Amino acid sequence: MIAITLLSLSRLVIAYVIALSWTLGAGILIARSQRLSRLLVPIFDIGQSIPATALFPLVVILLVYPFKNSPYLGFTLNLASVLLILTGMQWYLLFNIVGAVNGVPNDILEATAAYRVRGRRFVKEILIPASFPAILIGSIQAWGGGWNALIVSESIGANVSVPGLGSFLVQASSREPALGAVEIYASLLVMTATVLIINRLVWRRLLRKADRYKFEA
Amino acid sequence: MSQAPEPILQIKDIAKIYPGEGKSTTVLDHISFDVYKEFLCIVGPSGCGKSTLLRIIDGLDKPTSGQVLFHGQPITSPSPKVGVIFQTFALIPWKTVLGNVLMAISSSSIQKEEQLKIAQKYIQDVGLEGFESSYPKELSGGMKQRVGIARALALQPEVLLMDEPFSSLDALTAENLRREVVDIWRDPAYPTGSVLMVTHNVQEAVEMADRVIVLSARPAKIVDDVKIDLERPRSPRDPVLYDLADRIISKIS
Repeated sequence: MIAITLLSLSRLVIAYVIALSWTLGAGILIARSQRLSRLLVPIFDIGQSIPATALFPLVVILLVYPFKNSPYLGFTLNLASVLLILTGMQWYLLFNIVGAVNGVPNDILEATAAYRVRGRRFVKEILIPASFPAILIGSIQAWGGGWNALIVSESIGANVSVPGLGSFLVQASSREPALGAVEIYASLLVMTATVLIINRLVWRRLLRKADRYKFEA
Repeated sequence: MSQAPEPILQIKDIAKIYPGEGKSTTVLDHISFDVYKEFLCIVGPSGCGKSTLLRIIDGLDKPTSGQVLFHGQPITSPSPKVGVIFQTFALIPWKTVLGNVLMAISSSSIQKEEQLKIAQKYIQDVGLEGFESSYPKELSGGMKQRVGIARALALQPEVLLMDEPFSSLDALTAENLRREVVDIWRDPAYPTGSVLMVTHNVQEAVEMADRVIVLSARPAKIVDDVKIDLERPRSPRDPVLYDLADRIISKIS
C-alpha cells in the first residue's frame, strides 16, 4: 500500500512540477504581452474547457496501442498517466497566475519602472513573489484536480495499468463487492490521509507565509 | 552681463491626447516650461493631468507630441539621476525597508557593499534607523513615505519628482514631512538640485516652492507661473502664504 501510494504521489509531483513550470512562464508572458495574450488566451480557454478524462481515448491511441507489445509499454503508460494528471492540474495554476500578474497595482509597476527594475530582476523580484498567493491557491486546486485525474489515469484496462493508488482502487471496485470492499476502504483511507498530510505539511504552512505577498488595499 | 543659467529640465510643447472612439481626450495641451535649480510646484485641479505630466517627465509615459530634455538630452525612459516619490508610497510589501531602498540602486554599477552603506545612510537620514528589517505593513503612513523618500534619495538624484507625496498622510505628519523634505533639499550635502512636485494643495505648494506653475482644468494649460520670493525657513501659517494661495486658487476656479 505504501509503495503504490508513493508511486501515485510521484506521478502527481512530476505532473505538478511540469504544470507549475510551464504555467508560470506562460502566465507571465500572457500578462506582460498583449499580443501573446490575444494569441494564447483563446487557445488556453479551449484547452481549459476540455475535461482531463475526455483526453483519455486520445492518450490511449497515441501512447498505449502502438506500444502494446513493446518493452517501453511501462514507460508510455506512466507517461500517459502523468499527462492526464497534468491536464487535470495545469489550468487552475495558469489562470490563477495570470490573474495575479495582471493584478499587480499600477503604482508598484511605475515604481519598479522608475527605479529601472527590469527583465529578469522584474520577474524574479516582483512578478513571481506577487503571484505567490495565487500560485498557492492554484496549487491546492490543482492537486484536487490531480487526484481526480489520477484515479482514471493509472488504469486503462484490467491488464493495461500502472501500479498506484488509482489503479488499485479501480481494480478493487471491479471485483465482487464482498471481496473488494476492504481494499476500497483501505485505499480511500490512505488517499484521504495523504491529502490531509500534504495539506498540513505543505499548503497550510505556505499559506501562513502568503500574507506578506499580498498588496495592501 | 551675467549669463542666464542653463535649465536642468526643459519641458517642450508637451501634449497628451488619448484617442477614443470618435472623440479623443486632450489631457495636456502644449505645455512648456524650464526647470532650474529650484523647488518647483505644479498645481492644478484634480484630474487635470498633473500626474500624467510628471510621468512623462520621468519617461514612464510617452507624450503625444513634444519632448522632455534633461541637460539637453531627450528623456525616453527613467533616468538613474531622477528619483520619484509616489502618493501611494508604492513600496514592495515583501521587501523590508532596507530591501525597498536597495531596490532603487541595485541596478546601478555600484558594488553591493557600497549599495548597502548608501541605503543605510539614507534610511538613517529620514529617521528610520532601527526599522531596516521591518516590512511596510508594520509601518505607519508617515514612516512608509519616509521609506519612499529614502528610496528616492538613495539614487543621489539630481532631480526629485514628487507626485502628491503628502496627500495620503494625516495633517500633522504631512506638515513635519514637508519641512523635512525642504530641509533635505536645502542641505548642500545632498546632490538634489531640482525638485518638481505635483500637488492639488495650493497652500502646500506656496509653502514649499520657489516657483508655482498653475495648470487649468482639463485640457491642462499653463495659466500662471508665480515666483514665491519668501525667505526660508517659512512658517506654514505665514499670512503672506494665505494671500498667495488665494490668488492662485482664483486663477484655477
